[in-house]
Amino acid sequence: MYGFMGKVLRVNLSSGTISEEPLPEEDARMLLGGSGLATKYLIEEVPPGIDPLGPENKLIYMTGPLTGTTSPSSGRFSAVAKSPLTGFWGEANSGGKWGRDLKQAGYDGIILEGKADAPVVLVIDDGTARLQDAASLWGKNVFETTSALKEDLGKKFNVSCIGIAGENLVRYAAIMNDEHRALGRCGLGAVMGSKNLKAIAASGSQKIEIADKEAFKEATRAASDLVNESLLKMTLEVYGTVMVIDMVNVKGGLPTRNWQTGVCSYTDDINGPAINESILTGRRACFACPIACGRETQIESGPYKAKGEGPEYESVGVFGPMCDVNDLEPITHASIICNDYGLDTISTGSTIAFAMECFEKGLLTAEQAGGIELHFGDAAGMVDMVHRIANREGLGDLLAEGTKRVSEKLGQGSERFAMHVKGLELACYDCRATKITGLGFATANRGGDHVTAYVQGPTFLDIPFLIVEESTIEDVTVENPAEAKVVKDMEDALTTFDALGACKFMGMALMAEEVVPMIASATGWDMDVAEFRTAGERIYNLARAFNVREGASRADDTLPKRLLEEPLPEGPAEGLVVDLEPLLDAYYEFRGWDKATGKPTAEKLKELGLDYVVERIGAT
Amino acid sequence: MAVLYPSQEWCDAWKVAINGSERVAETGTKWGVGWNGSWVFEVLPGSGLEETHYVYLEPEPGTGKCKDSRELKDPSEVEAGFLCTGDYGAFKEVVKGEKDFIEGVVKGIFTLKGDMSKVMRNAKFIRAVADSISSFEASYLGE
Repeated sequence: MYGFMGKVLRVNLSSGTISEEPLPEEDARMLLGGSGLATKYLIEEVPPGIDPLGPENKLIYMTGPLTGTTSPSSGRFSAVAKSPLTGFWGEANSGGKWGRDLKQAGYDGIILEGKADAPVVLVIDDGTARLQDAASLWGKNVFETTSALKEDLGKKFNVSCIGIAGENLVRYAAIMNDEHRALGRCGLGAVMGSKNLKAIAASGSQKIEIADKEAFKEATRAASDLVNESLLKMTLEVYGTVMVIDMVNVKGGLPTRNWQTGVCSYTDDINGPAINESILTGRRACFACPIACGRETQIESGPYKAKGEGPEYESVGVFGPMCDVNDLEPITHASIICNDYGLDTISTGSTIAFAMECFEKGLLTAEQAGGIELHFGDAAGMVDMVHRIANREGLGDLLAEGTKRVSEKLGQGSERFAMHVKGLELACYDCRATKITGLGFATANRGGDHVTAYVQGPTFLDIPFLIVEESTIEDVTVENPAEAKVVKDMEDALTTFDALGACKFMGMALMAEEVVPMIASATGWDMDVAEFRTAGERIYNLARAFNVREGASRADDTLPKRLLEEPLPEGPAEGLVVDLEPLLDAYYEFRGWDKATGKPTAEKLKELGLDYVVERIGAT
Repeated sequence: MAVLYPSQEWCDAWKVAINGSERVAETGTKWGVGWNGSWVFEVLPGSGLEETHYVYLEPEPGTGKCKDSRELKDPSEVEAGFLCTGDYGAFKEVVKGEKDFIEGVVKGIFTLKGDMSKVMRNAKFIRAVADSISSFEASYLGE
């Protein structure tokens, strides 16, 4: 197979057996690879209704046909499982170099099933795989685990692992690779921990065969040139992803104090230029990335002394304005220790911010919380709580369950300001300021996610995504049902990047006509733009089918009450809420889904070649 | 000799600066080819400027040269492809070379309207044109 290694590793952790199986090429073409192909394994092999933290769940890593090639920003890979945070489709995507290393070790993906009796590490060494004891690593965090494995196996090995948070089954634990790169969302680190799998170390020197080398070289060079010339590179390279914080704030949509307002007064202290002037020590690129949006940072002394990578925009957003902390040092420290513990920064910071509001409203008391109180602006308390969550100590044990479960336990109306969708904590874009962004949050298959549709690009950032034919939003403060098509198109188009093994940022700078030649020349598939777009829609519907099978319906495609009913109190978006229902109606129409249930119709599934899920979800 | 910003003399000097810039020439080969690449800069009052001021800039398609640079009484006098808005204080900082124009856009100090896909793909040209603005001496209102 071209573009792929042609093999998937199946590891039964209960029995300790390891086998190889061929990558199904027809499925790969239909679903491109990566999260698309992994989702097919998930829906076919994981029974409905299982406990996400039980041995019946499967954790499936998958690269794509562009992973590890010279196409721009192609170091990415995905993992899927049933999410312990949402109970629905759990998917996460990461960069760095680990995806390339898995492929060069000889495998496109790994299916992890069952549960080991004792902690183990999966070692993949140039076409062979083995499980080895990990007792000495259990209880260690990500940086130490990574170092220990490199020392044991050799520096050429790259490590994907969990920290203490994953071991402790924190529902939003991440799986980390290259130390600071995260399969961040949906709690896949807890799934890995539930299987007693501490790490996967991969190394190899196998070559990824390309079908038409000359055409691939030409297509990747053209794409790289376009990225190099772009505003995307110019801004992300200099300021990192934090560059967006001012643009979001200017529109009055920067979630502050757990989304009580969208206006923050101190972004100059925590934005991209502030990072550059205070803590930046270098820039870091993922494999084959011309942009290098990663930040290397260091706080040299004091209580927040730390050295590592980040913070990204979302981490600044949740540990900064969301918790009302205006100091880059605790924000950065919190972000770096999340990486070390293996915690999703978005869910961690959001859950802490939610707890802060609960304390301020008297719904949580120091007595209930073992003598601890959390208040907005309490930087030390925020950092302390990250440690407690990872270790499940005291109040941290409750917060380790995530905002949704905490609010269900506390009750007393706290669900109104529990800022999640389907259980996944929201990213830092207040959709009351740009209405269509709310539709993206509401319909994202993995929950309150910002990179599924990335519609904040054309709304908050005024940056189009060239990967779709049209992404213009005329007036971001108005609900325009016709523009629900932009969300649908962006979901479909950006889904393909998680399948291909490339960065979604490429979707800003590259048109489908420039991406398709890379896929076609790498794989040898005679693919055109129409087939590429259909593949995205197919993957999106397949993940939706998984959710429907697990009980998702239109009722789950919603937003927290705060966004639907509480007007923003100040700033450019003062007085605005989201009127979601008309947008949802239009969205289902564009999707070909049943408006009453939110279920894909049998006709739509068959049109996409997904006949095999029609019965599974009772589509009509 | 310093030319007053904003004024027609300043617009003339900017045109000369653009046409003398090798970076603008190198990076402007795709700008405006088959589409409207002209700009209106809407300078809002403040920092010594009392009324909103408009500057028009028309690059020659595909050459990186400046065809026209002038003051406007009203933006409706022209049909521009792009509108850039910011206050006089912020524009002054760019003209003085104290603020990076792209950073101003990223921070929301300047807002852009128009086909942003063209901006996305021609950022080096825009930066080169913006940098040329501080290559000659200017004087300012309110100083």
